[in-house]
Amino acid sequence: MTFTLTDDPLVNTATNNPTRRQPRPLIPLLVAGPNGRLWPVRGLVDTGADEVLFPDYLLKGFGFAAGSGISRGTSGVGGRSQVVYHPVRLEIRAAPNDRVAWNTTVGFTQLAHNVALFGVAGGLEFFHTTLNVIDNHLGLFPHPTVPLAGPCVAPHAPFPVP
Amino acid sequence: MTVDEFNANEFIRNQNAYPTGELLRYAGKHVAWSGDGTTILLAADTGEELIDLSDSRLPPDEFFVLSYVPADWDGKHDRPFRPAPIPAGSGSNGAAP
Repeated sequence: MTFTLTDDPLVNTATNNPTRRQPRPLIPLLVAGPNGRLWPVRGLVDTGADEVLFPDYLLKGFGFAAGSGISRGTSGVGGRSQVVYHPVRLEIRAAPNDRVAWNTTVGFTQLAHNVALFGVAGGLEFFHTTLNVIDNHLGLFPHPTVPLAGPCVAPHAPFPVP
Repeated sequence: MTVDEFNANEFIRNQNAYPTGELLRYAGKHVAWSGDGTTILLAADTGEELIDLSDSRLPPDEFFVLSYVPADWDGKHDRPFRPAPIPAGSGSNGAAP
């Protein structure tokens, strides 16, 4: 599936005037936890990220028990932080009939700009990925190894998490 | 819009067309975009507040996308880099003061 690149506005902080648009591979990620509720979040396709990470404020919406999940310290560009890992159902969708969903484990932590990172483990490892800034599109083509998940019936319908 | 009607490319195209000046009003806020990317439905100071707002103000089957509008955008790379002139006699240009 292919996605149009997002044009994020950049603003001169001295004058507070918008200066230009910056093309970025930002796509909506549809993620659901044990309560089955689907939360669509903007995520940056980040080939430099080792794993898939979501901002930790989302933990509230997923129904994970407080204190549950595996916690681990990790270091990234922004420094060292604590990440809590949980199994989720992740879906990306270019169009209603062009989508793929899979079960995976993702991390939750404090992230710069509160944007999810669609990194390698649990995410890009299942896709052939192409980025074409000149033609303004991102390609994510599922590999046969992707551990496909069943359909998420409705935003509030529960589903089994492995 | 419901989840089954969601089209990510349509969402991104509409979001790209959203007026920058309007978006600036939400700098530093967590926002919920409408499923088609044409409007911002809700805004809050924190992600937790936004989740609470979406539960209380939006219908259960309303499809929206959570996002954050950065407050520290920087357009400094737009300008061609011109080093500041070195004051005469400062010594930093290798010349003797």
